Amino acid sequence: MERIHINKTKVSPEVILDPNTGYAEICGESYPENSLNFYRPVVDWLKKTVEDKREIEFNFKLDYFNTSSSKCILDILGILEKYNQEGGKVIVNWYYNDDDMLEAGEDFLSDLNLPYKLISSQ
Amino acid sequence: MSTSDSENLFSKEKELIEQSKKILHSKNSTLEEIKNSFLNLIEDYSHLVKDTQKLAKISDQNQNKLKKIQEELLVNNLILKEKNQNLTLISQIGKLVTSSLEIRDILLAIYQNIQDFIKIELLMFGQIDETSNSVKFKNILVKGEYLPGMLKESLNTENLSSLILTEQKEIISNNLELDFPNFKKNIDKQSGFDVQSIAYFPLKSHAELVGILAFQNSEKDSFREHQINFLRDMANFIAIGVDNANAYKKLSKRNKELRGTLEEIRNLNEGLEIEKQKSENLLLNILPYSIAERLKSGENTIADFFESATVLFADIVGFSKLSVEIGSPKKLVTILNNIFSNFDFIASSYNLEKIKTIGDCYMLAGGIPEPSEDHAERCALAAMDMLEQLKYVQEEVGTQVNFRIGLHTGAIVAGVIGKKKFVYDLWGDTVNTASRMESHGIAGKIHCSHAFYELLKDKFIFENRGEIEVKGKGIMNTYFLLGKINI
Repeated sequence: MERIHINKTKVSPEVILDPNTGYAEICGESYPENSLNFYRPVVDWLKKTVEDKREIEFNFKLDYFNTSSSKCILDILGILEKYNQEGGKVIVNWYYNDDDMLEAGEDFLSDLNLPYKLISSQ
Repeated sequence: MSTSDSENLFSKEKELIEQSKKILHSKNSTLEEIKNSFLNLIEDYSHLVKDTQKLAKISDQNQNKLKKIQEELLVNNLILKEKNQNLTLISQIGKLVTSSLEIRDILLAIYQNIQDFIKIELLMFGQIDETSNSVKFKNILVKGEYLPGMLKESLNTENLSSLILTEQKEIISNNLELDFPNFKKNIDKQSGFDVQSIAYFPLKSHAELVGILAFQNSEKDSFREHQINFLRDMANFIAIGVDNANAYKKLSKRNKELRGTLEEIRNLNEGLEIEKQKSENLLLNILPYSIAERLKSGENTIADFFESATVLFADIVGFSKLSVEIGSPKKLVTILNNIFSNFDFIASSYNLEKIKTIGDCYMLAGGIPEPSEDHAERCALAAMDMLEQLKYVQEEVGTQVNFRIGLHTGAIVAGVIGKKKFVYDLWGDTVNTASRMESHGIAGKIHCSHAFYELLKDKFIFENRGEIEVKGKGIMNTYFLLGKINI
């Protein structure tokens, strides 16, 4: 599986997925026309990386996300949580630059059985 | 026409049948008579038919009326049934909503209870944020799944939220494109799907706007009148629930802050208690307990007169020479510390008060701060013990070290003066005389005044030194304390 790099657009974030290091990054604003289609490569990469039992570092560096993106983020976190419960090594870093994004991070992550860090990017 | 009319008709019909039977069975009637009778009979029958038709018509009309009434009743019954169901549902949701303290739980309770009654794809709650003057939709349910959100509508620009809050009225649209073409693009962007129908309700609690409850669907004409009425009723309950949840959140936050403050206070108190104990210990180290207590209770200057007390001075003879020989200040202080620590122990064991050390000289007193009868005796025993220590000290640092001890008994003033670095000190001629006894004494001996000798001569063995010239005092008859008389 090759390294995936999706460039940032006005409505969608930059995505970096490295299968060799298990490093993932989603950076920018997320309100694509079809969130499910946009996030499909991320979910596929994640499933493959889990299958290969690699260590995963997932970095969310979002400035904005809409409701359908929220659903996709929740699905991604669901896969990571399951992997973690099965013994996989996972760390989620949620970067925030304001209180809204901090609260969103807390809302997403506080109920999950997953190691995570909330990191101020200011 | 009434029931009796229809009964008359039946009896008339019966009568006519009887008549026709009679005519047919009549043997005496002529043909002409039979014919006339039948003509009459036909006429009567035609009247009867007319009346019957009338009756049937009226009956039909009545039946139609009845049918109509029945239909109306059926509709009313259905409406009542529906209203009753709505009321039950609202009451059920109301209970759940008002008992929930988390907005997430409130939204889930709404969704789970209304899905059979009304199709909702997106349900969200927006709260007014005064700091940013916007409505923040952070709690969203999409097809029953709770999603964290960060939708925000500024109240400074034109959008659905500002419209609702400015006009304080609900906005319902079953065709968003047609009704709000300017807002549709932004709503679609926020929700991530093609929104066609919306129902937004302002939430008021205690006449104050607390937020917006919003429903969205991707189909047109999603919201019918009775459903809108239902959602409106529900919004009122939700406002109370949200108000409760907010109050609970604030309370929890305040509670958390208070717990934090309490913890800080507790830690500070513990620290203070430790510090207090330390300073108390320190105070008791430099002051007798009763004096420390008096100072703590507010006495500024303490000066007590004692008619009789004993003062002891013990000096290390040859210490100056020793300090030159040893050279290391640390070692010197260690030796001095060992000697004086032993003296402290002796003073404490005879319940005597250590006053101070002045260089290599140790000063203690008996009979202060609590007056006593046997202070001279206790001081004598302490002096003897001090000399006993000498051999151990000599073993440690060399034979050139010796002690010179002086004792005197007399009146004294004891107390604490000053505000800084205060100590419990003694004043008066007794102190000077005791000091002179030490300075005019002999190494390895306990030199005492006549007053001291007078007090203990029956209990201790003394050697009269005779009269000597004492600096600042003149001629004095003095003694050496040799030991205790064994009785």
